[in-house]
Amino acid sequence: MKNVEQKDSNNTVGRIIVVDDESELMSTLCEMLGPQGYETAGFLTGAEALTVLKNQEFDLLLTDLMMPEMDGVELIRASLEIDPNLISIIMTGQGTVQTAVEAMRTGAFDYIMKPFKLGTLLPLLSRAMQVRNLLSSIDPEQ
Amino acid sequence: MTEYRPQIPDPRHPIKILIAEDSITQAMQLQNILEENGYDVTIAANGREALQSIGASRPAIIISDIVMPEMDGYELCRTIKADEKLRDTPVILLTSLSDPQDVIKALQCGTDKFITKPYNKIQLLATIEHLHVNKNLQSLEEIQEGIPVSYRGESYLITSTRLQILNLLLSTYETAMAKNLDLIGVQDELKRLNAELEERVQQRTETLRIEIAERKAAQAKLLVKNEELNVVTQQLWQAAKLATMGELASSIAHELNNPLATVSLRVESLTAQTSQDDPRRRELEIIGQEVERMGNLVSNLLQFSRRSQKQISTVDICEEIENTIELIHYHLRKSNIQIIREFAPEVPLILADRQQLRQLFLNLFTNASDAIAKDGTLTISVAAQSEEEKILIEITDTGVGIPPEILPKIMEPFYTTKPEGKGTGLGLAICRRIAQEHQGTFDITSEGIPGKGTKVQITLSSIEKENPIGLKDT
Ligand SMILES: Nc1ncnc2c1ncn2[C@@H]1O[C@H](COP(=O)(O)OP(=O)(O)OP(=O)(O)O)[C@@H](O)[C@H]1O
Ligand SMILES: [Mg+2]
Repeated sequence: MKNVEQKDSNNTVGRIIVVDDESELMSTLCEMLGPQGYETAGFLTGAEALTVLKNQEFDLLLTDLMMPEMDGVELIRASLEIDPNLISIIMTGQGTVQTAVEAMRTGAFDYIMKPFKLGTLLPLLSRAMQVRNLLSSIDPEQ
Repeated sequence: MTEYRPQIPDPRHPIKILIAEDSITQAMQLQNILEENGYDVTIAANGREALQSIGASRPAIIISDIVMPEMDGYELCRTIKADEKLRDTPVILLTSLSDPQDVIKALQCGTDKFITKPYNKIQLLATIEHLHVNKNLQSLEEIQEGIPVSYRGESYLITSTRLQILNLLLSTYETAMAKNLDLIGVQDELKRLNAELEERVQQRTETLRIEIAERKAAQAKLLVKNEELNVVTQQLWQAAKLATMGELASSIAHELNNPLATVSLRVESLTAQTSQDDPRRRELEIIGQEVERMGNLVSNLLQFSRRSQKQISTVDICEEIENTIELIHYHLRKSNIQIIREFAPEVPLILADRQQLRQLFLNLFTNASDAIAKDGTLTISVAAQSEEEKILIEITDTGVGIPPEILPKIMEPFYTTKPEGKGTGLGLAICRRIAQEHQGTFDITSEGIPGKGTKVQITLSSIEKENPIGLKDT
C-alpha cells in the first residue's frame, strides 16, 4: 500500500508522521493537514514509520491506538527512543477515554477520539507544536 | 401342656403302625413323624388296602383317615372290631371332629381314639404310646350288649367296650379343651394384635402428620428458592445480554468509528471548499449532521455497555433537569405538554456524571412525551432523602400508561412498543444502568389506565469512584 507524503516546504508549520492501519483515514488526514501547513508522511504500520523516523526528522507523531502487530503505545515508546522530543497524539476508535488516557501515561502528549473533526484536531496539533518548539529551543541538538 | 418325653422303643422290635390315608402327602407326613420316633410304618391308600395289609403285617396300631374311596375309616374300623383276631388292635381315627355325629359314628364302629386334624405332633405321639401301653387292659374286657343312644331323632347302638367309650369321650373332651384353649389363645392374640394395630395406626398417623408438615415446609422453602432462582436467572440473563451487547458495541465502535472519521473529515473538507451560497453546501451539511448522529449512536451504545469512561463532577440535579428540559422544550410546547416542577428548596449537590444524568432525564422526558402524544402534564419532583444522602426524583406523566403484562419487560434492552425506526428500546435500560451507577434505584409504576399515566421513581446519590481518572470538570 502506498504511503502518502505532502510537502509544502516554503510555509511549513510542522512535520507530522501519520500512522493508521485504516488507509482511507490515513490518506485523508495527510491530504487535509497539507493545506493547513503541515508537512505529512503517512504509514500503515508502526514498523514502516520507525524506519523512516530513523533517517528523517519529524515534529509530531499522530498515530492510531489499535493496530495489528505494533500498536500505538508501542510505537510511541519506540519512537521516543529515536527522538525523545517527538510529540505524540493518539487517535482511538474504541470510544473509550480510558484506553487513550492510559496511552497518555506511557508518553503520548494528547488523545483524540474517532470520529473527529479537523476543527478539533487542529488546536491539538498547534498546542503540540508549541511544546515541540519549546523543547527544541531548550535542546538545540534536535 | 406337659412336655412329652418319648419312650425310646426297642429298635430291634419296632412297633408296627399302619396308616390308612388316601392323600399321599398327608400319609407321608405322618409316616415321617412316626418313623422319626422309631415306629415301623406301612401306608395303605384306603380301607380295603388296609385290611389286606393288616392280614399280612399285623400292625400294633392302625391310624386311619375317615373319608377314603372304596372303604372309609368307619367301615374299616367296624370290620376290624368285628374280627375276633383283629379286634384288639387299637384304631385311631383322624377326624376334624366338627360334628357330634362323628363321635357317635366313631363309637358305633368301636374306634379307640380320635386324633383331630391338623394334629399336634406331641399329642399324636402321646396318644399312640398311651394306646400301646394300655392295649392289654382293653383286651381284658368283654364286649357288652350294645347301648342304645338317640341323637337328633336317630337312634344308634353303641357296642364299644366301656374303656373304648371312655377313651373316646376323653379324647373328644381333650380335643374340645385344646380347641377352647386355642380359641382363648387366638382371642388373646387377636386382642393384643388389635391393640398393637391401634397403637401402630396412631403412631403412623402421628408420623404422617409430621411428615406432611415437614413436606409442606419443604415445599414452601422450595417455592421461595425457586422464586429467588427466577430472580437470579433473570438477572444473569440480563447481565449476559448486556455483556454480549458490550462486546458487540465495542467491536462495532471500532469498526464504525474509523470509516466515520474518514467520512466526517472528507465532508468537512468538502464543506469548507464550497461557498456559502452554493446549494450543495446544504446537502453537505446534512451529510455532516447525519455522520455526527451515527457517531453519537455508537457512543450511546458504548455508554450503555459501560465501556465508556465516567466523567465525575459535582452536580446540581435540579439544574441538570432544567438543562435537559431546555433540549426538548420546543417539542413539549408543540405537543401542549405542561411541565410542573416540584423542586424542594435545598437539594444537596452530588458527585455525578453530568452527561449520564442528562441522558437519564432526556430518555424519561422523551418516553413521557411519547406516552402523552398531545395535551397533558409532566410533573417532575425532586426531594432530598436526608438520612441516606439520597435524592429522590419522581417523574409523572398523564400518558397512556403501561399495561401490567408488559410492565416487567420494558426495562429489557431492545424492548420497545414504538414503531420500527422510532425507538431502540434502550432508553430505560440505560436509565436503570445510570441510576445504579449513582448508587441509586430505578422503579416504574403504572396502572395501565390511559390518562392515569406512569410514574418513574429514581433515587440517586454520589457516584462510586471506582476508576478515578483525573478528568477536568466540564
Ligand atoms: N412513560 C411511559 N409511559 C408509557 N409507556 C412507557 C413509558 N416509558 C416507557 N414506556 C414503554 O416502555 C417501552 C420501552 O421504553 P424505552 O425507553 O426503553 O424504549 P423506547 O422508548 O421504546 O425506545 P428509545 O428509548 O430507544 O427511543 C416503550 O416502548 C414504551 O412502551
Ligand atoms: Mg425511550
